[in-house]
Amino acid sequence: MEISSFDKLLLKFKDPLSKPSRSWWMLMGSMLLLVAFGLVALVQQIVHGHIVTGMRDHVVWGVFIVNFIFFLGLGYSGAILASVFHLTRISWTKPLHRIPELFALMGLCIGPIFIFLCIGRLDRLHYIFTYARIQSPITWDVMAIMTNLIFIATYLYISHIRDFAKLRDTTILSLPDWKKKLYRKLSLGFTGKPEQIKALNSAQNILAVTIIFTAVLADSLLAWLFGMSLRPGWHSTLFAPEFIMVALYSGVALLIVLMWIYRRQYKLHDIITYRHFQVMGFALLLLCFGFAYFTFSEYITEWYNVSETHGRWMDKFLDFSEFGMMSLVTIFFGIILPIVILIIPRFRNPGSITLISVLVLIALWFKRYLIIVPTLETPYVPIQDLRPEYFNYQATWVEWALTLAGIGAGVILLMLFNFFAPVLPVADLEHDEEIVVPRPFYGTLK
Amino acid sequence: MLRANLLSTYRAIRSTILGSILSYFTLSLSFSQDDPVRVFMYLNYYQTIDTQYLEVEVKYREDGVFKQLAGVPIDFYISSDTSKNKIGTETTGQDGKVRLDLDEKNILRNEEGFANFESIFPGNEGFAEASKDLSVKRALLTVEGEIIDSVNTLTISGEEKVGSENLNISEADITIFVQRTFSDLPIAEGSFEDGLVITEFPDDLPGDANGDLWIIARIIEHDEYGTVEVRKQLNWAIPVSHATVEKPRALWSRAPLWIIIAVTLAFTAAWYHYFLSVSKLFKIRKL
Repeated sequence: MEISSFDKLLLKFKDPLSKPSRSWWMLMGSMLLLVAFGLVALVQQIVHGHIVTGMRDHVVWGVFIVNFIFFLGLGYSGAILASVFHLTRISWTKPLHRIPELFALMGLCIGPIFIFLCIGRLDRLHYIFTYARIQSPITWDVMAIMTNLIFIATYLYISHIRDFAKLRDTTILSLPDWKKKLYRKLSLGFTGKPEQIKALNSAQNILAVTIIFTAVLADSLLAWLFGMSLRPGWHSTLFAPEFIMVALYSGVALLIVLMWIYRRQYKLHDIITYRHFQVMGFALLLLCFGFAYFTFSEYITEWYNVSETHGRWMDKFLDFSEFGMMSLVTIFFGIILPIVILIIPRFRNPGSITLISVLVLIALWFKRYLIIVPTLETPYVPIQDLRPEYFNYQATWVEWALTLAGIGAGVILLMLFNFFAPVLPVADLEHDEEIVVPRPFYGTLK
Repeated sequence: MLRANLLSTYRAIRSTILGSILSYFTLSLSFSQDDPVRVFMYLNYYQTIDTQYLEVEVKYREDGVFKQLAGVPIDFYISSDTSKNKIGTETTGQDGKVRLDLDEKNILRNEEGFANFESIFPGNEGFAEASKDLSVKRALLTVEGEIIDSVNTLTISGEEKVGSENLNISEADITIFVQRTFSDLPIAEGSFEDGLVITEFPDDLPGDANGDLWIIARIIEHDEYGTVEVRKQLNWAIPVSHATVEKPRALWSRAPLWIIIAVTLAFTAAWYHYFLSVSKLFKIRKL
């Protein structure tokens, strides 16, 4: 019996949909070990308090808040990318729709965990609600994160309904009974009737537009938490657009990395093509220029600020015994290297674009670190008896262990998503004979 | 022969070592079982124009750290050349301290004006007996403030009582403090000459809403007078109002109406569209 092209596509996801392979379980086990390592560190922190971290009276935030901003940035950018892909109806982006949806939910699940780790008195967590002040940006941020988490989870579900219906009806994959039952429930009786398609499209359109609004708002609120303080390096009107810019930059970088991984894992070379990498590489380049512009604009305005505190803060970025090396790596990995690699045609291939994306992700994590730590290490008011151990931050193994656990938990979430549904929106791709990706204008430059 | 000598030398060394070890353990055991813990006692005398009192603090040492001895009785005595009278018994508090207020009428003083006090902890099963004594004179301080050539100047007078006479204090150091919220802030120091200390006082200290502040002149733990103190309120401070001022943009004030409207509108609009979207999902099954 000849199998249809759709069934061929579905068969690519046999592992882990029908039965996860040994390598899938090994990766899952490794990630669980990372999470367990993080739990050991968490127990240390709960038993001994925050003294086991590098955080002290002055540097009250460290790697945890950096991870919080980093993961939330991935979440918001994933939400915006997924919504824009859906609303623009560009056919060649169809294979990419699912990936930003997945890492949007992953980012919004993992990010907030890190803010809980910053809180010394978790038993007072409910005060956020019982003593909430409507004029406090923290209250806005809590509301925004919760709103986005619920919206993205719902959006991910809506975008899966057609695929759940396909998985419910398929005979090509030998799915376990419990999964069939689950798909039956989750597909809401969708059979592809025109009225059902209309209702589903309408639901997805409305939520996509809403998500763009709430994601931009939430990332801006996160930036305003810092911008509304008077501290050097934070009190900036640029912060909200810069945060969105940096979030989108990291989101596109992660999208490229996941495209490369899924392309290899599921042998999707004919669906996620070289052209996809070229176009997304072009998007990465544009965002790189945006990042360079914002970075230059941020530092040049601070450079001309003549206050003594600003001077001390600025000097830290030039001093190689402080944050000079990290600043240099951020600029090199985040601006110079992407421009060189993405502009020169000889260097432009899926492997190099992916490698650059990994370096961009590292640079953007460093960027968040440079936003948080140098400012906290620069006391805004004169302080008596200022000892180095009070304001020099050095992350401890507890913080690194919990960071690794966060990454591990993120990978586990992505693997679980893939365990329940294909990483491509298979129902949307069913009738597409061939995906034609336009050549980006810079792809014609030789 | 040589062997016999070596053997006797070996036996002598062995018995010496064993004897030493045995005596060490015997002594340690007897000390640890019988000896009560040593108690450290501190006795101080405080006086102002209106009040006089004795204060005792008792401590003991455990694992190299001093700890307060709470809940033990302390007997107070006053003595002269011929008699010794008990004037009270008080029990130490959690801070290991106890205070006994004195009445000048009941204090016996000798010809030189000294009164002899003694505090005794009688000891108990766990702690050894301890005592302390001191001889102190009655001393009186007064403080006056005056602006001389636009400079705030304090004049502190000190007298000691010897019999019915008041004599000038001549050998004592004094420290000037101002009362702050949590403790007294030292401002100046000086020494008595012919019963007087004259010192300048700053004019830029914050005070209460009227510009008043409390000045404290204190002789601290003097050999003959104990601790002597006088307080006076002067209008030499910069007035600082501590009344709560409404700060319209602070977190603890009321939220401006525009923020309430903006936040409510933004989240209501978002959640309205969310429920609109979800409501369409419910229709799918019915279609």
